[in-house]
Amino acid sequence: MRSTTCFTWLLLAATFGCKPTPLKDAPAPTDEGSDTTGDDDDDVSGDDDDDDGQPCGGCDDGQACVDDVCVECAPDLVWPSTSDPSAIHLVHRDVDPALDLLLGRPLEVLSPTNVAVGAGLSLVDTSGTPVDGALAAGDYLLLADAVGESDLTFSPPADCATGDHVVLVDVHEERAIVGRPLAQDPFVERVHLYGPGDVVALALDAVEHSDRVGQVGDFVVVPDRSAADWAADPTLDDAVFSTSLTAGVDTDAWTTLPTGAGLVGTYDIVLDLDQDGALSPGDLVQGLEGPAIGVAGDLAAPGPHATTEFEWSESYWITQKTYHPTDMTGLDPAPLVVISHGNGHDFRWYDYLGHHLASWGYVVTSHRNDTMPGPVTAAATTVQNTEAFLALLPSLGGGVLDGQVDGSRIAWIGHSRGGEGVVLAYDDLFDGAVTPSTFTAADIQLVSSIAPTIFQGPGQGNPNDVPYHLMAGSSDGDVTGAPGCDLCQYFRLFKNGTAESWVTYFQGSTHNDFHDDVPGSFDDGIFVSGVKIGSQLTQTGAKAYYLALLQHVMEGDELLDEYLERPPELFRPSGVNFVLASSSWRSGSRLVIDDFQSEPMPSVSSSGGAVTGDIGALVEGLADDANSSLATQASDPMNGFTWAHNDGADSERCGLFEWDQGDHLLEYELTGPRTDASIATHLSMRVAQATRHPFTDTLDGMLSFTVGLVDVHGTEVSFDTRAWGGVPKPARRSGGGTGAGSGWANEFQTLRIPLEAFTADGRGLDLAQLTHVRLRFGPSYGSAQGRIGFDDLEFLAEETP
Amino acid sequence: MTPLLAIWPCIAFADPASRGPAPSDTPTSPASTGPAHDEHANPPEHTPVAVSEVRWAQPFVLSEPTPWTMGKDRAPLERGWLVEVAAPAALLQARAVGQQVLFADAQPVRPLHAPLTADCSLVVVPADVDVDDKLVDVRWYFGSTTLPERVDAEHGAWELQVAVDAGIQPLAPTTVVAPASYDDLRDLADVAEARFRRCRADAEPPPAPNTF
Repeated sequence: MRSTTCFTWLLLAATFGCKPTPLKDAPAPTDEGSDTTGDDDDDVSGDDDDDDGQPCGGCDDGQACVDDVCVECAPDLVWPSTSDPSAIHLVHRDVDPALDLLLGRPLEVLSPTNVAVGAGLSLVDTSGTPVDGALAAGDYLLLADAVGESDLTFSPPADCATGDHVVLVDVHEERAIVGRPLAQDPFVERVHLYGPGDVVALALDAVEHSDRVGQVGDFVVVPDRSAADWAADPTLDDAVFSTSLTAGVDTDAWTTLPTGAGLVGTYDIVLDLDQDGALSPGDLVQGLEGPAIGVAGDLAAPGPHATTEFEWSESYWITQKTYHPTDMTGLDPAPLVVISHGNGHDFRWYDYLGHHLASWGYVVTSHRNDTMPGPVTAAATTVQNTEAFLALLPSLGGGVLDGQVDGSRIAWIGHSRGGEGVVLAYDDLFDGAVTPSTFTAADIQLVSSIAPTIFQGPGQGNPNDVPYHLMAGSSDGDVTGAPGCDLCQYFRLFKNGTAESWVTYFQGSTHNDFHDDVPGSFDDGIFVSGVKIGSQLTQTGAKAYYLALLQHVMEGDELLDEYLERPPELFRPSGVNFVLASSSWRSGSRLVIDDFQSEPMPSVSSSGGAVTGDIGALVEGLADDANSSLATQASDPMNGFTWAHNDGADSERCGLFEWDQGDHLLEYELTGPRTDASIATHLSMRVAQATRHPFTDTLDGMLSFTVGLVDVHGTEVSFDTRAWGGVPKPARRSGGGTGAGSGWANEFQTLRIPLEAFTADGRGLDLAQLTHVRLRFGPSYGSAQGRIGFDDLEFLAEETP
Repeated sequence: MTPLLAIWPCIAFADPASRGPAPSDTPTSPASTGPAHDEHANPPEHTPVAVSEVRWAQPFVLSEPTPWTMGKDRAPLERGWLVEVAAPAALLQARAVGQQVLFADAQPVRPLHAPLTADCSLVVVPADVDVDDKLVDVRWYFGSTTLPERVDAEHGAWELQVAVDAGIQPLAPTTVVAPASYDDLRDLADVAEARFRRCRADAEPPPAPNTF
């Protein structure tokens, strides 16, 4: 059998660029030293090696005569890119076929042999022609066609007594090879966006790349290239970072990430295992189609464009302040952002956002909004002003915007009554109640509400199918979001949408922090106790999150999206150093386990599975605080929830439970299609600490618990949610009722746990055959006590960059 | 006779004895939810509050009518009054929720200036121009916290009756000036803005005395 020493030598030879000396591969495993031929020598070939006129004139031990040529019985193979030739690992990718020849595992066949290529594999010669059966000496590449276990079977010549030589091949889905280090299991978060202070660490899966362990290579970061560019030029000459390391041993990381404003750069990652300075067979690569990673700088910093503003007026109610990149020469038509202010606000009070977004290439227009009558009138004003802006484009600002605005990419951002107005306006478009001449519902690509009212209720206040974003602050002294103010419960708008949706909730922002500081304007913060972060921080956050949101929705950026979907306590734009809660969900890619909308018994999930365990006080019901006391009462278990109201217009329900004194379990049986999460990307749930409850007050911090998945084999893999963030404590604010404590709203935080963590590093969970989700609570699994609202336990299938 | 009634004639038929319950879209949350300025709670059932003073009024005509949206029953605004009223800033301050609507008789009126905190406001009252009448019979008050766009004739009449029952008396302008004509609402807004800035500046407290 091949010795380890020999193999190491081979690797070193490859490392130093030498042509490896052919090393005969071993025969199929046999009892070492035994002779299976039945004769008395150590000849395993079974031939007669006497040089007595037999064909070939006699062959050496371990050889057989084929067509008058002595050939090896054992296949004479070299796998130069692996440290374990008995089990080859391949990554399956659906990429440009032109790249295939850069991605296979190289195989050198030193003497002719026969091969049978297993299902899901291809063996090709240097011209890319598939081969199977008789194999001449030469260089080949092993390619992956499908995920799964397969093999290459090398058969000895007929005269050999040895058995087949089988090389096991495991083909995996692509898994990121870099990640963000975590302090706890699973110790790496394979994300795609990195921010200031982050490091990009090499994170090879311990099993899927076990045949790379010990190999010396170069960890290289290069600017993002397209697949075609990689095919045309696989060299790594433009590396921005490169270091040599021993795979699976060293923990090197790219620590000097570039800084700047916005998305600073996008990159691809290569582990150049033959150190030839190019992407070549046997190397590992991430980012062939789209960037492997992005690096974000300061999203609140101005973008590359100088900006210009001008006011214009067609009539009193068609009056706007417009912001745009000063020099639009050569720019593609820009998306349009329309800002609709609130009551007691003014269209001139959004300079901070208008100039910021214009500096990033958007055309922004803030219009006089007829909010005094109410949000229905405001909605009409938004439509009329958008229509007028597009109609008058050729003449606005002296014609500077003519041909420079993409009227098919419009975002509506509304504040307060204007925030409800933009939702009502979209609902009117969606329903066909209004038919403007210059745009349609399809042209509205995003609706965002800042602290919106909900005078019209959730029936009309429905984002329907448009991506919807809600931004609000816990210290709002006007649209408070409080249980006692039905007209302020903006989450009732959010939960109606069927498209991609987000909440960004700033602890400490007041209602009017979201517009410019204007001397003499209304300071609603005077009514509010507790933390107030002020307008500067609020607007820093608003600028950063709006840039990320618009880039994602309007420009298709899948990297900055991570600012909206990863837990803000672990990943947030620079400068946004205040407490945030975020919540989002996606439609069409959800496989709900329990959303509490059906099966009202707590013992049965909405998907029909059993819900068991010993968790305390488990109830489910309308996510509505039943009174205005903000007091924890047995008669009002949903204290602090404002996602529904008991006026018949809402049906949003959630679960609620608590734990104290020891460890506890809540287990969800998975049924039907939920047992197969193999195509899902995340296990997701929304969790909120219950406000003004003794357990919450005692915890007084981030809450965590442990989430596990169990498969049919009984394998359970679980993680403490702290690895991906936790559940923030409710904002500290008093008033609003008589409840003891100082919490305010129940702030749902989405916990989105990547499923790849459950399978990484050989954890062995079979995502295709799951049986249960197990949630464990208590001192052994996270926070010692807590009371939480719980909703939308589901699998997600999200796009990745 | 009263100019306001010319546009909202139904007010004339409002029977003070038939006040009845609030229209269905008027907030009727119990007063126990908190004081008037508890922003955490639904607005309480209102108590009408009279303006402090009607300081100045000017009839106007617009050459270009503009949509009037401060009511459910809408008609273009062609004529009306620009009126300066004085009231506590907390009542005049425009906000998202919990704001009591300012009425002139049964009609919500519209402030026409920057929404800055002040104890005065320049408001538009749509009405026939009747200089001789000088708005002497109009009650000015902050009514319910409903939305003006929901106020129809019936609702307006109800608000007025509640005000009458609460003892709100008509308040005549201190000064009525000659009518003016404007091209459109923007021109009127410029006049209102200039006058608002004056009245707001007049109300500014004098600089604090030097304590040294």
